[in-house]
Amino acid sequence: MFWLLAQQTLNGLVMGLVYALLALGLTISFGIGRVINFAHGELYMLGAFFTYLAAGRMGYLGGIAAALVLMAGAGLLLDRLVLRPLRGGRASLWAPFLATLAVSLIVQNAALAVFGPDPYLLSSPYAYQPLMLAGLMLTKQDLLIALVAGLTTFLLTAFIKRGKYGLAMRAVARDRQTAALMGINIDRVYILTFVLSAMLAGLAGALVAPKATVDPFIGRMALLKGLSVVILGGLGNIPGAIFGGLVLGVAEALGAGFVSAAYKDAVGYALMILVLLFRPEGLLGQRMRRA
Amino acid sequence: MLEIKTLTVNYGRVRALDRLSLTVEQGEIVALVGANGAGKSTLLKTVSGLVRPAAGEVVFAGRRVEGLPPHEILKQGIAHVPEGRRVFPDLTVRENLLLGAFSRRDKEVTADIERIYTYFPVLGERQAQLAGTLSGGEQQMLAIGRGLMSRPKLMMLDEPLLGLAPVMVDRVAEIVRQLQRLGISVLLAEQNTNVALAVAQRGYVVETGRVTAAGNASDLAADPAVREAYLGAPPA
Ligand SMILES: Nc1ncnc2c1ncn2[C@@H]1O[C@H](COP(=O)(O)OP(=O)(O)OP(=O)(O)O)[C@@H](O)[C@H]1O
Ligand SMILES: [Mg+2]
Repeated sequence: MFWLLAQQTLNGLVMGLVYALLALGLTISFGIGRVINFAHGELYMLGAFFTYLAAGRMGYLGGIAAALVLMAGAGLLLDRLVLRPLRGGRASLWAPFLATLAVSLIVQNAALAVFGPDPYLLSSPYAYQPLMLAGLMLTKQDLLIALVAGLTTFLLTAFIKRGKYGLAMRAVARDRQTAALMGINIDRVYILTFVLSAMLAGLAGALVAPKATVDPFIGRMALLKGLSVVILGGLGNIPGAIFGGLVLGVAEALGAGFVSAAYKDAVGYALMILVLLFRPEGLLGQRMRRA
Repeated sequence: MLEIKTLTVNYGRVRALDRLSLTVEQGEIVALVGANGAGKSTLLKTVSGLVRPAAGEVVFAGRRVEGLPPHEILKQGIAHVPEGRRVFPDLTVRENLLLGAFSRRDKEVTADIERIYTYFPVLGERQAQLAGTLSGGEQQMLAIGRGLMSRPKLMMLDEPLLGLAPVMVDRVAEIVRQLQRLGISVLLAEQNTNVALAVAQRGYVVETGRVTAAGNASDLAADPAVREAYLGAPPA
């Protein structure tokens, strides 16, 4: 009983770090770029496919590196071609929302046309390599996921907290006009935001793919998980995204271990509904002040 | 050093500035006075690049700058301290000052922050505190200090006296004079006409986007028409 609890918590923390990566990307898109990016799941899917394609020549880790470069390009294109034309001026608040929804459908269908509907297997030399850790079992892939996702989360938070452009991102998130008066090139901050966001989503896809399969529709679930975490943690809240990711990962793993693997996702949604009912500002969100 | 020529700005159908012209010479304090909605903030926002003019020119240090993005205009040496202070409330005092120096690449930023702390000791004492926790007067000092961090040649202050207690009004007025002693030209938009004209050397009165009177600050302060419109009631 205790063993199962500890084992499932460990599994949950590993997945939780992946959820945190997904949610961090959504969080910066929303907090800084003011866009709820409905194509975020497709960025995850692209990250997995790019890694798959590059891994044939460069191996799994080389494939991830190549995929990250391509993801930076995808983030740049998303900002320049889709979001920037809708910024400021006359475009409606709904426009970016609908635009990312359209991007999501286009990318899904393009991937379907290129790769077909059947699942691909991305092989990693670390998958199915068991490691024992104080009586608990995890694969080398899990360890890699935890290390890479954990380190990325740490570096991103440190950059936003201490980096020059991290400070600029926080300023733009709060008040873009005044940020512009500080000499910040707002356009560059948007590019940085969406490039980082796309790379985070792509990294999550590349890390998880060897534990599952890759097909053009894996982004749908990834988006749902990311949005759940963002709701759990509090919209636009970075510590909340990390904490919410870990909470969702552990809750799902415990649900799978103690109830049934079939209810894994249901546990996550139940948790989300509870949070929405009793703490709509999110676990770490600020309570809204009533005017 | 700043020359505004027949500047026209529209917000949709609303004409906020109508062929407005004014100048600020090197080392001068120039007051821009006028009632609510006269167009003072619009003028400052147009100079700093937040608002695009429909027509007219903004020439700074011999270069046309109208239509450039705000970060380019700041680099030319114009700092805009906006209406309502607009400090970043969830960043610390020090982070706010660092943002003011965002465009700089030199290594003297830290030294300049220390210098700001000697001008405004209260900011030094509160440097790790969130700016949102400062009082209104302290926030105004932070906003001015943050503007100084870009090492501007011209500072545009938008209603820095608004909402301040009388003691603070005197402090901020003294700070504006201090800016001049540092060699910085000042364009001061104010509704507190008494204090603005007392601090400035020259002034412009703006009504519905047009200059209706201009001249020496002391002459304007003595002008019966200006007195009646803007100095009649004792300052709030
Ligand atoms: N973003 C905007 N959209 C539409 N109209 C605007 C906008 N900003 C200002 N205006 C209008 O332009 C005119 C000038 O406004 P502005 O803010 O420049 O005046 P002001 O002199 O700064 O006034 P105050 O002393 O109240 O700050 C006003 O009629 C105002 O209603
Ligand atoms: Mg104003």
